[in-house]
Amino acid sequence: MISLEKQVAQASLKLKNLAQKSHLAHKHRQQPPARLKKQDIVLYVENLTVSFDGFKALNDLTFYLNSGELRCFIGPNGAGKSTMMDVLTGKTKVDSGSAWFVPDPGDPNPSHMLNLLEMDEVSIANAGIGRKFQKPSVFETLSVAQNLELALSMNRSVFKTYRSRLNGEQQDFMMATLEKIRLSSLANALAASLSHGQKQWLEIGMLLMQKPSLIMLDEPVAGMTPEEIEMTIALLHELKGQHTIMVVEHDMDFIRAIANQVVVLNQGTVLAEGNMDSIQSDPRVIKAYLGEGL
Amino acid sequence: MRKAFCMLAAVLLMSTAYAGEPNYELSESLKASLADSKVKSRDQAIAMLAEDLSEQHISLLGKLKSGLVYADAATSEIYIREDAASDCYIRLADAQQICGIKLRRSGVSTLQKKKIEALLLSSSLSSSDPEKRAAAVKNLLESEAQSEIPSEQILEQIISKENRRDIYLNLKVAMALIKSADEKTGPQELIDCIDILEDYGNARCISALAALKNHPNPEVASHAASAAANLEFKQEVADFFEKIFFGLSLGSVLVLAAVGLAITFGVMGVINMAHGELIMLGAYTVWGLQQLMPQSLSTALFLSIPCAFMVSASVGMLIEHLVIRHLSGRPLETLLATFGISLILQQLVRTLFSPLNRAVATPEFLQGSVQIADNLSITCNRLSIIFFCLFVFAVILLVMKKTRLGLEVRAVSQNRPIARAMGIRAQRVDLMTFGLGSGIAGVAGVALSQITNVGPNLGQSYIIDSFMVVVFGGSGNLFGTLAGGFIMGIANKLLEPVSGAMLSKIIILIALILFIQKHPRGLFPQRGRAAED
Amino acid sequence: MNELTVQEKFLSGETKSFILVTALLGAVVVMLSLMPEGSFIHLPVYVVNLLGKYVTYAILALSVDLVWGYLGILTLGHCVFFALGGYVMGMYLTRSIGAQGVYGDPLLPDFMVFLNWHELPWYWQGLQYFPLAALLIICVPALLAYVFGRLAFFSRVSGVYLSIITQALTYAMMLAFFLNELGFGGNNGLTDFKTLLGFSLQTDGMRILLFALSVVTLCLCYLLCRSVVVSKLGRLCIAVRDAENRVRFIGYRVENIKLLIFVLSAVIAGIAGALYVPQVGIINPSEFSPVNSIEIIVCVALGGRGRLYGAVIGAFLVHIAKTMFTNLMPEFWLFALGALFVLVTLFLKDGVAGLLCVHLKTGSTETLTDKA
Repeated sequence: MISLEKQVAQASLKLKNLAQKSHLAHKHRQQPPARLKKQDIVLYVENLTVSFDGFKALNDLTFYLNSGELRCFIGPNGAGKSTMMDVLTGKTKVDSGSAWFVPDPGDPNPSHMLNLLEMDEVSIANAGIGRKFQKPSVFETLSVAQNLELALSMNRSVFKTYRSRLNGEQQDFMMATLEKIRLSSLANALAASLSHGQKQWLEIGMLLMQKPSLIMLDEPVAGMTPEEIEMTIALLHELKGQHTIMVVEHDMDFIRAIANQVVVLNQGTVLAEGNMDSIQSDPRVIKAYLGEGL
Repeated sequence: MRKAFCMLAAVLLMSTAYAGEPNYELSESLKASLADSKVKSRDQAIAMLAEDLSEQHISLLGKLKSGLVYADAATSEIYIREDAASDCYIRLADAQQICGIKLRRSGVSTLQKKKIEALLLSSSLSSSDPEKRAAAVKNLLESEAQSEIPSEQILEQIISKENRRDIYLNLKVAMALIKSADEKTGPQELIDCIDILEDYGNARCISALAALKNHPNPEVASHAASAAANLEFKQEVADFFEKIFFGLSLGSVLVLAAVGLAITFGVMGVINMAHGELIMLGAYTVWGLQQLMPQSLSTALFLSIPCAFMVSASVGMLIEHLVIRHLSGRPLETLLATFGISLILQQLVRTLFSPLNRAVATPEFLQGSVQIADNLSITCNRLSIIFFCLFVFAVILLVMKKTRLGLEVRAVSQNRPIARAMGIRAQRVDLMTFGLGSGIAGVAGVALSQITNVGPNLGQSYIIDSFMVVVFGGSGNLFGTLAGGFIMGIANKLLEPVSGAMLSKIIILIALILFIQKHPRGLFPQRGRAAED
Repeated sequence: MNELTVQEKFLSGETKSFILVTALLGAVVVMLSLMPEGSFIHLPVYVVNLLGKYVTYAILALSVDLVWGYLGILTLGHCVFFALGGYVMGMYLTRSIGAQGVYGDPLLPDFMVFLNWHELPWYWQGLQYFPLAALLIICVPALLAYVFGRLAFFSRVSGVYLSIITQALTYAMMLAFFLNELGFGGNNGLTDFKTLLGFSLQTDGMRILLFALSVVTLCLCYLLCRSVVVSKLGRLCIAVRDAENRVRFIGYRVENIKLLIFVLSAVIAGIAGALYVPQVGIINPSEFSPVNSIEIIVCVALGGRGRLYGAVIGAFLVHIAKTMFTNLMPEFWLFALGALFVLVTLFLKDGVAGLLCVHLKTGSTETLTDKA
């Protein structure tokens, strides 16, 4: 009998602790980060942890992104680069941590900041975060122009979509974007008929049509020919400054060509941060990439 | 002293039973009263037969009760009809079979029937064979009809002669039943009766107790009420366990039907709509083997397990080779194509055999039931299906975890391109997986043939439920299928009495959709980045 | 570079020629049936009736094509909506029988008298008025589609899972409608209809009229579907079919798109069912049976999904074949249907319309890939 009472007491204590913990976690997420509030930060990522069946894909990941910056993320396979983007675009749920986004960098009011962890993909996309996937994903049975048309930023409600027609201004914007992604001559071709690199560009074009303030590019030059990579570098230089950009890539030459600030991720956490040269000479980075033995 | 008396009584009883030589020659007066057109005169015949309860007389009384005794109006010769369906009679005098003659039935009234029943009962209750007596009293207590209990005095006599304890106790219960219905019984005696009835506690006792609840004596009434409440509670508990058991056995069927589906779906991402028809083929294999060896049903059943596996597996592999392979990466089209195959297989069975159900015999060791508690008994075939399901599941687990094929299957299901890069021939694995899944469907068919009718629609009736199990359990995890199947089975059986069979199906469907809303990947989802894409 | 052809014209060649051909064929059938009997070009009314039935199947196929061909949702239970529309129509027609039934009860339908019911259930109230019945023909399928879609799409059930659940839905509905207690005539369903809007259903004129009405409805439904398909919403549907997640990351609520198209399609299916019932004179729970829904799927697959006129062609081809088989060798129909499934999915994934497109080169730019 006594042991039963003890068990009950223990159980209720556990429950209480649990309730307190969840309350704390809730509070933690509810509050926009005030202590690091600076004018030009658009993305606050703090203490993100995600685990899949015990494996920690993200482990206490913290970083801040400035407005108009182009930040590259590198790291060995399984470092958590794609998982990080999954979390920030609402695809994967986190175990703990916080992520706040400033939709309008000119508006310093903390109450206008958005808690990304409580939003789904659609509202994150509509808040101004665009993402290109690792595997190019475009609508293959639609033409290039139609792909761009769908991505065009406008009222996304179903009825508005049914009645929507392109106006002149939108048409011009689309032409300009086609120009930017070097697909003007292929506007009416089916997306399925594009080369791998062209599909990547089309996807970037679709991002641009969304007019996002933050762009996430997951391996934008994978599978591209050297010429295509050159063109992508030029494209990114054009975009730099107009948008805040996060790039995940393995191609070091590409990174060197576009980035001034590089973050190295390893085992779900930030290993090193700095410019390309300092990163490449950092012994911890070398160890992470090449392993213990060397 | 008492023992000696009992023995003496028994000896006396035996001596009276065997007093007259067995003789088909009935006395003229008996013949006449049997052959008489008036039903009333049968009273006399019954009384004469009752005087000497020899075996023939008992059997004749039985025939009389079932209306199989006929008489030739002209000669007063007595005939026994073989059975209600046949047109042949046996003449009692010389045991000769005669067919197609016109005879008059020697009918009895309802009252006379009851009289005969009481006579037969008391004769079997006082039979010399203790097994017969035990069976008779058991029968008496379990039967629904109140009328079959002999009168108090006769029962008293029988009880006083009984020397086997269990029969004696059961007779006491019968006595209590009679007394409880008798208005003349005193309150104290009634309370004793109530205790006896509560101890025995079958359906008949419960209704007797319920009747006593309204007894004018408050003490008796309250005693009866509490006894009835106790019994009802026990009955409810037993009912609950029975439902759980039925649920488990239905669940095992669902698991058997779904596990093959889960394997093919998990590995190939393909829903095989013809899975139900592969189950049906397995069930028909049992039927076929039983036709081949009607003498040894159990051997046929055991043989049919590997045979059904082979039959369904080879048909499944044929389907994979001819159709599914060419539709890889198009899951919805695969679903349609396999649906077409299921239509063809169904119609094929209808054309080859018959659109009607086939009777598959249950071998003896699967008949009967196991008594678990007083009012809880479970049938052997359903019990063995649960064990069979667990056995098959264990074998599949073993194949998946311990063999090379299992390793390759798991590798392909987790990452097909990488597995191929490692030198695993994915197409061969697909073929083997499909064969394995289909073979298990065949084995499920063997199990199903023992509890349901075998017909062309057999597969259809289980397939939707087994899809539900796969969806519920989550693909890629066999334990999910096991848990999902059992939960679905038990939920079905618990809901059925509340809401009816059809409504419970609908409720379960809605519950499942709501469940998927919360857990889109089933009970035991695969986590990680691979699962997210 | 000013000729960005993002939008297909609503009144393009395809739309015009479909309406023209359908109207022409319909008119020819009506004319032929009006020819004096015995004349060599006279079309018997029973054939017109049969064709009217096919037209309602074509409308149903149109609705299935909308969700399967354009949105990529393989629904194995679309006959639920067809049958529900049919049941509402059947209830109206049953109420119109009035005291002319076998038992002569002015209020209760025959089967309720037979079951010893004394009151009309609440859901039968008011169905003697055609406007209410017409409203319910639209609302009941829409409501079920909405509730089902809300549950299924918002929980992101998709692909084969969704197909299985739609099949379970129609199976459950079939079981439910078999129940006598539900008050829809149980096993026998609703039948012995006498009049529609006061006109007898048994006359030749009524049959021809119903056929004509079905053809007009087919054209209207085609126009409705066509207007969706050529709009940006239509392209969005195709986008959902090809890469659902991408659509989400662009910022569209995929669930809303699916829900709207699904409800629209259910309404069209319900209208088809409502037109079907007065022409065949009976509605019973077997209309819910999963095989019926699958037959419509094979119609769309054979005709060519993702092309509205393909669905219509497919519906006619399959049902003409079905009529021929069931008359000549009934036991082989299931073989033929099964084989059709396998052959179409293996060798004719763009259907008859795809073949026509290749031959005539009139099709739009869209061609279908393997994505379902």
